[in-house]
Amino acid sequence: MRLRNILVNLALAAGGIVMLLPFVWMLSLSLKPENEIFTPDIAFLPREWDFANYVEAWTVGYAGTFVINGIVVTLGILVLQYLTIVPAAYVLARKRFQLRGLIMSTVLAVLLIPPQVTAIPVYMMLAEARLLDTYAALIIPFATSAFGIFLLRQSFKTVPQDLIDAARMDGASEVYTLWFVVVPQVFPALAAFGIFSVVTHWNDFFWPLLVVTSIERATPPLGISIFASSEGGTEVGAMMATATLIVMPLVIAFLIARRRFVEGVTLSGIKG
Amino acid sequence: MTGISLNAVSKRFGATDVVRDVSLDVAGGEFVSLLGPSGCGKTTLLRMIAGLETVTAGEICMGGETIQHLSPSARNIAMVFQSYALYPHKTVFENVAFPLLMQQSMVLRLPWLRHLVPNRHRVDAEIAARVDPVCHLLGIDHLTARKPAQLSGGQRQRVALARAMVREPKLFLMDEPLSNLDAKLRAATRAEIIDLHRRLGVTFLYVTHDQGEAMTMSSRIVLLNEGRIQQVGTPLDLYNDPANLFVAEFIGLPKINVLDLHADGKEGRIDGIVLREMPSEIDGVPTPRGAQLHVGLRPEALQLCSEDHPHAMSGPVHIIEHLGNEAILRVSKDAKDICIRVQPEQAIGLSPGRTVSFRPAWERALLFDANGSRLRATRLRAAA
Repeated sequence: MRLRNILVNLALAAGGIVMLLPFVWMLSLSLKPENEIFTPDIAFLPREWDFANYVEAWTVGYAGTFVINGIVVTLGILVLQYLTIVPAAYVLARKRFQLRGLIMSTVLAVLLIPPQVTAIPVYMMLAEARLLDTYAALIIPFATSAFGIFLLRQSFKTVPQDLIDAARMDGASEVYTLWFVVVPQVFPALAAFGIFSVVTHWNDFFWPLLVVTSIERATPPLGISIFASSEGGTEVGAMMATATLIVMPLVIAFLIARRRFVEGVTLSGIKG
Repeated sequence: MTGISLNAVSKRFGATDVVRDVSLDVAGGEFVSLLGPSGCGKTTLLRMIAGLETVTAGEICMGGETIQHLSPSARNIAMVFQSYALYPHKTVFENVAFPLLMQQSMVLRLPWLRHLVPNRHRVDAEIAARVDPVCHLLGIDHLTARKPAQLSGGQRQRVALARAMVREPKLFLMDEPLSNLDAKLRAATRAEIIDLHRRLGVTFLYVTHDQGEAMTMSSRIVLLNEGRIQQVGTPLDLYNDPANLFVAEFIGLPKINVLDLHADGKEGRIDGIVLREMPSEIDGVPTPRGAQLHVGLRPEALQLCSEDHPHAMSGPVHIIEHLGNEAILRVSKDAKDICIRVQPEQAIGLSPGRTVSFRPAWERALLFDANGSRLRATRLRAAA
């Protein structure tokens, strides 16, 4: 039994090391002065701690801009998604109307379509509207989410009808009932969806690459890539510092909301 | 005090008629139970009165005015749900205050924005001044800061009652409010609801499938089956003078014994047993000849007798229930289970398996025709 425990722990530790090694290497490089970066031997700890890379990333580079862009875009997307998926999911879960079956099937069908398929038409629409290279171009295409509608619909179905009826008897309007009586009951599902949405759009590379050309509008992953190519890959230290700064907000958010995150994954595992 | 009247109310879901042609007048201040087996339409009827379901046909009036077109909250009706339907994310105080909060302006209803409203404190104080006495009356004033999940079943029930009372409605609707409580608490809460009704003096409509609950609580009972009213009357009316076999079988515990009676002049046969010297009149009706009838005999309408009595039937006792003040004998006769209520001393010395003889007490028998309708003297006379 104990031997098994040790073996299991060793296996897990090995997996953990493999996954963490790139991050450790990134941290290590970001803290080294330039002359320590290209050396034949491997040293994780810098001989001389150097924070100049961070200063450079923040002042000369655009790390701050990337983080702010990331926050604006992910939060903008999230707020719009909540505003659209909550009513849509509620109607699909609770109302009987003629086209419900068809609309629900459409939502499910959209789940199967990869975003790359619609990329070109959406790009052209944004171009027509002269919205390319703006926040709007990054946010509007993701203003709603088929996955979110589906996930939330399943949760809304579990809210007891009596609760909604009680609110009606007490004089709450339907919209008020939805947002202040029903939505609080499905908070775990909303949080789970929020986490997925933020992680997805923070890390999204494909869409920003298409619609953003100026570095001032770049989201974090696109920013790193622009930074890397513009520097010609020579300023490894500054690049790693930028990468560290960009990864930080998500890592910190994850550490704070670790429990919810795991709950969210389990929840979507059951319901999604 | 406002009563409510239903005029030929029907409800249809798709192809199913759930409520059919129900007419009913409830006077102000009455406590009326809607009783029936599950699926009889009693809850649907209640929900139509509440405004949670539309009415397919007919009219619902309150205080002389039709209310069908009004939204549930505009009807000034409160409802206690079977599941209590407390808002899980709100405290007890917030739950009870919710109907009052909903009467305020839009901004005051919103969770964060309300802090911007200057007269918020005055409004909050007014709401508290109405919530507190209700919580005090129901003995939940020490629980106001808790969430529903931290309450016991009985406490949740009181919160649901408080939330219904706080608006001072003209009509209380209750949908099986006791069914989630354990037996002991149920009896206590039953008494409390009766007390509450007396104190508030408003009209109560109470849905239940438990005939004992309906019998003990209500001034009148409306017995429904398959969406139709079977009988309306006081509890004793329904017990002593049921309109049909369904009512007779639904009301009363232990259940009424129903035997097949074939009367033929002086002789009669009950479930094939020949009875000599039939009484000339049963249930106030001259014993009809040659007809296939049902006779309903409540457990107290059967008496133990000697086996040579002309109307004696017999069978082996298989269960004896000693209840202290009385005893219930369950006797197997053919495939039927006959219930006889006897004095406690009559049951002493009996043991399961002993054969006993019993006879109907004809003066307490109820007579039904082959379709299950009650044969009443007046109706027969009217027909003749």
